[in-house]
Amino acid sequence: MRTAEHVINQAISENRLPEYLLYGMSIAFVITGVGLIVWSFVHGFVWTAVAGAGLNGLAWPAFAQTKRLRQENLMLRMLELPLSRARTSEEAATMLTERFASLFKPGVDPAAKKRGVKGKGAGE
Amino acid sequence: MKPRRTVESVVDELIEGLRSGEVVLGYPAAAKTFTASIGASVPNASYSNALASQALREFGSPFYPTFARLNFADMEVVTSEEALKGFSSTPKRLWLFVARGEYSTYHFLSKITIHHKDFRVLLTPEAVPLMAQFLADQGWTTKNVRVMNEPFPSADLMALSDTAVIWGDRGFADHIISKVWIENSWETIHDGYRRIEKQSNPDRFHDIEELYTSWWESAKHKA
Repeated sequence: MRTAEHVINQAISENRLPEYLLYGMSIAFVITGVGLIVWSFVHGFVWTAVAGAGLNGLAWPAFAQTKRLRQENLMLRMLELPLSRARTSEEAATMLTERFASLFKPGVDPAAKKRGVKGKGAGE
Repeated sequence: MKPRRTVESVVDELIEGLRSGEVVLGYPAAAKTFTASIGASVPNASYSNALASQALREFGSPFYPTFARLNFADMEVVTSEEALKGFSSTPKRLWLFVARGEYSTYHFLSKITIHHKDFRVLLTPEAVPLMAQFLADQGWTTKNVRVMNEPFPSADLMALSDTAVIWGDRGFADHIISKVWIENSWETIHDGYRRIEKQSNPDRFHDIEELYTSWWESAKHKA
């Protein structure tokens, strides 16, 4: 038997591997690219410098993917919110089913959000 | 490269596990207590922060806390600009106090966008276990997260001018009220707060008034 927190922690840790891989790839692209550009300038090879710039450019998609992974992990952590408000497992399951879209997919039901603003406001 | 586990897949796993009994809730006692208190009295939440805010204003503290309106149903939070409307000038540094590390803080920190170059989160040691992992996941660093040695940094931090607290959790409000109110005349605060609340929440003013009495008694008892 596992706890809900354990399930979430495990999912986040599984997402860590691609995140670290992407970090590694970004660093490798940038270092190789910059090295290649410097080397090309020293030896006067223009086209190799262009290839170096291309390698640097490859770092950006890797950064973008890393950002997506971080967002996904954050949303996974946020799953604890409805779970912590439930008293029973059945209630938690129902809450996840019903509230998932509105809580974790902002913008799905903008009308509901507007209603919420006019309702009970609460700074903690 | 896609995430190995998406939110959708984890939600499915949780729902299936919770229904089959393979997964249990198992949240720490602190989180459960918080859940109960919020579930029972949501108005009390804004109430406590407004009281703390008003208390500090009344007594001319260099702190000028406003309270963000956090809606637990829809996770709506006002922007930092709106939270700062009550200030005569933009504070040089913003603080967010997390005295207990409750789950509502997750809502706030993940939703609000702070357009301020010096914004920090201040945690009590009690809040660290619940908040540390979340803050790390979200990319917060030691640069803008501080841990206090005491439940509340009364003297040194309050002496800083141009510093603003834009949000505090329930523990923060508790502390302000027990320290500031008890040591001063709480009736003044009460009257000031009544004016604010009557204007902004006329529909639920009566409920809040009732809550006030029990809440005040509780704060007085704690102090």
